[in-house]
Amino acid sequence: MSIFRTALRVAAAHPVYLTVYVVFLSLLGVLVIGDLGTGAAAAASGPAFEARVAVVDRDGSELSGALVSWAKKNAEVVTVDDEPLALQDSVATGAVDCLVVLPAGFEEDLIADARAGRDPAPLEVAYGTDVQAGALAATATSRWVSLAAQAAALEPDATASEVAELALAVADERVDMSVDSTGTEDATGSGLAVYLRFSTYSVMSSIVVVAGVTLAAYQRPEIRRRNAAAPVAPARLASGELGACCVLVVCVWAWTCLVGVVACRGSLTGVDPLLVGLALLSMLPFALVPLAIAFLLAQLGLSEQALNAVGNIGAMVLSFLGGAWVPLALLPAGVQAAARLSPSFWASSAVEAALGANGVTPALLAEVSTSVGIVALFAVAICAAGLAVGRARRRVAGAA
Amino acid sequence: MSHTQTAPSQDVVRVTGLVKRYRELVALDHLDLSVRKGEIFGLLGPNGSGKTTAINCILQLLSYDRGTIELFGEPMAPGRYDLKARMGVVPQQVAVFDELTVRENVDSFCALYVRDRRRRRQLVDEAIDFVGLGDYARFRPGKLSGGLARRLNIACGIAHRPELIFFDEPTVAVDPQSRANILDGICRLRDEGATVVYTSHYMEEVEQICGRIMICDRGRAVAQGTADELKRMISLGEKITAEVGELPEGTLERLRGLSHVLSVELSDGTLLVTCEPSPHNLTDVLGALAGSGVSLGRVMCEPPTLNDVFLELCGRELRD
Repeated sequence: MSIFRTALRVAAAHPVYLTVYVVFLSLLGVLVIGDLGTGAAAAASGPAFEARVAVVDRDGSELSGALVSWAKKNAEVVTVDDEPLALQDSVATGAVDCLVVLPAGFEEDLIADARAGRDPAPLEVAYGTDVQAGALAATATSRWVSLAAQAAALEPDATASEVAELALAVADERVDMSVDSTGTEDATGSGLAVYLRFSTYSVMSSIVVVAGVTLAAYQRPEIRRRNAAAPVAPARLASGELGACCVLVVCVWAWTCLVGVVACRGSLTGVDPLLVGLALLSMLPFALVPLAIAFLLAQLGLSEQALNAVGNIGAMVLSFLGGAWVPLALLPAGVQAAARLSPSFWASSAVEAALGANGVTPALLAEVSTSVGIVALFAVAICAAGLAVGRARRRVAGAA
Repeated sequence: MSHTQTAPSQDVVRVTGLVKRYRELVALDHLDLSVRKGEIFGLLGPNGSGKTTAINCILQLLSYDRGTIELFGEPMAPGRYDLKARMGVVPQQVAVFDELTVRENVDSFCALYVRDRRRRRQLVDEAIDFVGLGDYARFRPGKLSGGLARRLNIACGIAHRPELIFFDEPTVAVDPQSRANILDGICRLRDEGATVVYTSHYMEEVEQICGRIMICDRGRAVAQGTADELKRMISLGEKITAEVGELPEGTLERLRGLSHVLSVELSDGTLLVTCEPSPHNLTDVLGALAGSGVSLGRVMCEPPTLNDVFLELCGRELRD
C-alpha cells in the first residue's frame, strides 16, 4: 500500500468526522439559507392578513359607527362586553388580537382637533397573544382614524356623517398592482452566496480536523523514525501524505458545491452558469487554507482532541469574519477591518463578486483573481509556518 | 532472507570513532562498533549510555560530529537509500497506524521498501505468519494485547526481509510467553541469514540470544565480547550460597581468610560467599565449613551472570 493510499486509508478511518463535519454541516448550510435557495422567498405571497379585532364603542356616534363597520369589512370583529374583567380576559386569553376602545366624545374631539390643526388623540389599544397581528390591526385602525381626521380638516363644513363617508371611501381605495412572473425571481444567486459563505465554516472545520488527524498520524515520533529509516526520500513521503489530503480537499469542495447547487437550483435558474462555476471554483483555493492549517497543527504535534477544538473554534472565528453568521456591514468598523485579514473574507468577496455580476468580464475575472490570489497567499504563508515549526521541532527532538 | 553479497571478511556494520555531541553533553565518545554477518549482536548499557543515539546515527536519523559508519562495506549517508533498503528497524515503542488493520500496517511499511504489489502480498503474508498474527490480520492495533502489538511492530520491521535488523528493546512490557515467542523469532531470523543488532535491559535474554555483546556507558564501549568473555573480564568468579546451622565462633573469619574469597555475608541462616575465578572455590569453602563443624543444608554454586558483569562495569548508581 503506497504512502498515498495509506494516508487515504488513515483519513477514511475517521467516518464520524467525515459524516459530521462534511455531510452534516453542509446540510446545515442548506437549512441556513432556507427559502433563499429555492427562490420561493421571492415568489411567496404569504397568507392574507386577518386579525381578530374588538372595537368597544363608548361614543355611539356616526364616526365611531363607521369605524366599526369598516373594521367588520377588513377584520374578524369579535364582540366583547364593555366590562373591565371581560376586556382583560379577551386579550389575556388571546380571543382578541387587537382591542380598540373608542372613548365617549371620540367623534367630537377628532373633528375638533383636526380642524384646529392638531393631531388626533392616540387610540386606546391593547394587544392579545399574537402581538404581530394585533399591531398590524392597530396600525390599520389608526390609519382609518388619520384619514377621517384629514377628511374633517380638508372639508371644514362637512358633517360627521360626511366625514365618515369620505374616510370609508379613501380607506377602501387601492392602487392596482399585479406581479408578473417571469420565472427569474431572485436571479442574483443570493441563496448560493449565503450558502457558500456558511460553507467557509464547514469546509474549514472538516478539512482541519480530518486532514489534521491524517497528517498527525505521520508525525507520531516512532512512525516518523520508522519512515525516516526507510529508503524513501522525505519529499516523496510528504508528497504522498499531502497528495491524499489534496484528494480530501477536492472531495470536500466538490461535495459542498454539489449540495449548494442542488439546494439553490431554484434561485440559479437565470444566473449565467459561468458565473456559478466561477463562484464555486473560487472556493477551491479557500479549501487549501484549512489544509495548510492542518499541516501546521500536525507539525505542532496536536492531539486529536486539540485538532477538533482548534478546527471548530478557528473555523467559527474565520467564518464569522467572512460574514457567515452576521453580515459584515452590520458589524463595527474594527471588525470589518479585521475581517480583511482573514481568508474567509476574501473567499466570500470572490463568491459575491462572481454571483453579483451580470456576466463574465475581464474586470470581474481580475476582481475574483485578486481575491482568490490573496486566499492562496494565506495558504502558502501558513504552510511555510508549518514547515518552519516542523524543522524546529525536529531539531529540538534530535537534541533531546 | 534475500541477500546481496557481502564479502565474508567484512563486517555488516562497522562504526569507527563515532562522536556525537549535544552542546556540552557528549552522547557518543569515539565509539567503535563492529557487527559480523549473521550474528545477533547485543548492545547493552544503562539509560543514557548512548545505545539509541548510536543506532540513530547508524540509521542516519541523526547527524554526528565525527567518525565513520560503514554498512555492508560501504560508507553510510542519509541519501544511501540502497543501503537503507537492506535494513529494518523495530523501534522500542509500537510504531504502527492505529487507523489501519494488522495487514494494512504491515503492507504500508513493507511498501516503503517493496513496490511490486504481488511480491509484497507474499512478503506481508509471510511476515504475519512469522509473528503468528494470522488470526488477527483484520484487527486494528487497538484491539490487540500488548504482546500481539509488539509482534505487529516486529512484523512491520521485517516484512521486507532485511539483511540487517535493529531491534530496540522489543520485549519491554511483554509477558513471558510473548517474550519467548519474540526471542525465538529473532533467533529464526538469524538462522535464516539476517544480522541482528539487539538492545535490551534484560540481561538474561541478551545472554540467551546474542553471540557477541557490547556494553557501553557514557557514550563509550566499556567491554565487548561473548557472554563468557565478558564474565571473565570481571573480578567476580562464583557465588556460593549455603544454608547453615549455628556457626561456631571464628568461622566467618576463617572463610574470609581463604584465597580467592571476595566477601562473606550471613543472613537468616544463609551464608553467601563471593569468590574470584578459581577452579577450587566450592571445595575450599565446603572444606572450611566442615572443618569448623558446621552442619549444612542446601548448597548452591552460581557462576557470574551478565547482570553481575553489567553492574560491575557500569556501577550501581541510579541513572535517568
